[in-house]
Amino acid sequence: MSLLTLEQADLGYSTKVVLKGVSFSIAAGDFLVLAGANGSGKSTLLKSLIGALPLVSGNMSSPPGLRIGYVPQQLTLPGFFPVTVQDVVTMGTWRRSAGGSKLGRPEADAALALVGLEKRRTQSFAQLSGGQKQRALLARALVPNPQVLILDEPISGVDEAASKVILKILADKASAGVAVVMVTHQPFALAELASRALLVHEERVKEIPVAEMCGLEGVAKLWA
Amino acid sequence: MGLIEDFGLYWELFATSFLASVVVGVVMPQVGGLMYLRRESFLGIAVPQFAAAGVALGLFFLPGFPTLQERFLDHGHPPLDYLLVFAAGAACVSMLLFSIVLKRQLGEPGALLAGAFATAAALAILFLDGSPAGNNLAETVLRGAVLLLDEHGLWLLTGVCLLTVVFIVAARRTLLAIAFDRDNAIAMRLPVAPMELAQMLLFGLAIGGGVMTVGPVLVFGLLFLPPLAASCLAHGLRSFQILLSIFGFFAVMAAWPLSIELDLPYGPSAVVSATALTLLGLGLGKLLRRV
Repeated sequence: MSLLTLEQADLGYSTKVVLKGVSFSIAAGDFLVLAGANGSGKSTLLKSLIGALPLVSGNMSSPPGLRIGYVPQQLTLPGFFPVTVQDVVTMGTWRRSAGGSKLGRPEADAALALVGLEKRRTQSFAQLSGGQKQRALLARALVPNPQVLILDEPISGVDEAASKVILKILADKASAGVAVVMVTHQPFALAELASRALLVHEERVKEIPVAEMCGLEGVAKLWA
Repeated sequence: MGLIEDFGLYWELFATSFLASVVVGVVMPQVGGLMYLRRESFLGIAVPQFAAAGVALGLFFLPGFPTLQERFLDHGHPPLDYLLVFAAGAACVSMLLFSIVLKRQLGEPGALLAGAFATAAALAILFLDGSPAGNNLAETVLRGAVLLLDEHGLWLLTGVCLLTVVFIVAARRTLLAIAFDRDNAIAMRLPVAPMELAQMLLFGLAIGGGVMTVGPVLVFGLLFLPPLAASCLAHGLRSFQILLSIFGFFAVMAAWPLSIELDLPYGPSAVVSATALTLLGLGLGKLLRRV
């Protein structure tokens, strides 16, 4: 079942189109890797998918009430925000779940336990390591049981152990039918997990074979 | 004569201004706290100054409203409802313009802000200079002579602040979610755009009302000194928001003995006591982190 579909969409800002004629759909259970050089428009594409950037032209369709979980790059978040791990994850409860029931502490606790941060709930978010911050943000995104998970470089600057935890959770979610869309600069780390690959290059988004993206050939192409 | 006796003796004189100081002491830090969390503290420099320019503009146009001017000349008090429209209007318009200019990256934010501050200060002086009533009021309204506030001013200030607090409490979760991670708030389908518009209008109203009744200096100080102190001591969002009002309250309370005993203007005294409390908070926060 298609969850998000872009048709001939121009993405960017009213004054500047960053990506032209973007067309693809995301279905339940897809594990989609998105890669491209710095400044190629990956973040623009993600922001358009979550609705933070209106399309310049074209169409985007999704089923009504689609639940999207979003994990930003941790560096884009303010370091001084006086917030605990529990506060961050609780923010994921600040909307209703699929059946319209209210989300609360049990859902937040379950998400914290899933990412292995239950013992750090009272710790300041600012004091966490990069990997722990990403896990806390992933927990926040998981609380409302999303149908689509959109992640912006969740394993960048993260140690190997935390990276493994994050990728394992994402693989489990994809197996359970959640569509995972992930921007990464390390596509080779996803060779076993990814089911589809999108390359963002020269104002275009092109679907390429996973092996090409995640193999050495793909990596070389990204930095060309 | 002791301070308390002084205060008791002149309670009737102080009552209105004392209550006004408590209202702004508790509410302005909440407004500033959210601007601080949204990384918009820089607006606190320019927006109150634009609100002050709005007050000056209102005074400039006062002769065009003979009934209001007559009442003003009879009673000697500025027509606050009329001026609130100008102060809050100028505050809202300046916040809207800043958000557009900064979003479109039309220049270095610090320089844009400094330029805007200079423009607003110049406009305030020019409008006051061109207004028959302006020069007298510049010494009172714009310097924050809270002692001259009448009961009507107190009600106006309380109404505006109450509206703002109700909004902050009712929309707390959404406002905090937007402040922490705006993109995620959009992904969660929270009503980001309407909430930001409501916040801008109400904060403009609160800042405009505050500037008009207690002056820009006190509003500046209470917007951003308590958040600085609270963020060093708070452990989580709830304690941050509680500490904001505690710091603001103690700052305005501590200023009264300073102002009465040393015969100093109240507004600047409150800012000095807020600064002292902020330094204390920063030091304490650093100490606690080491422990």
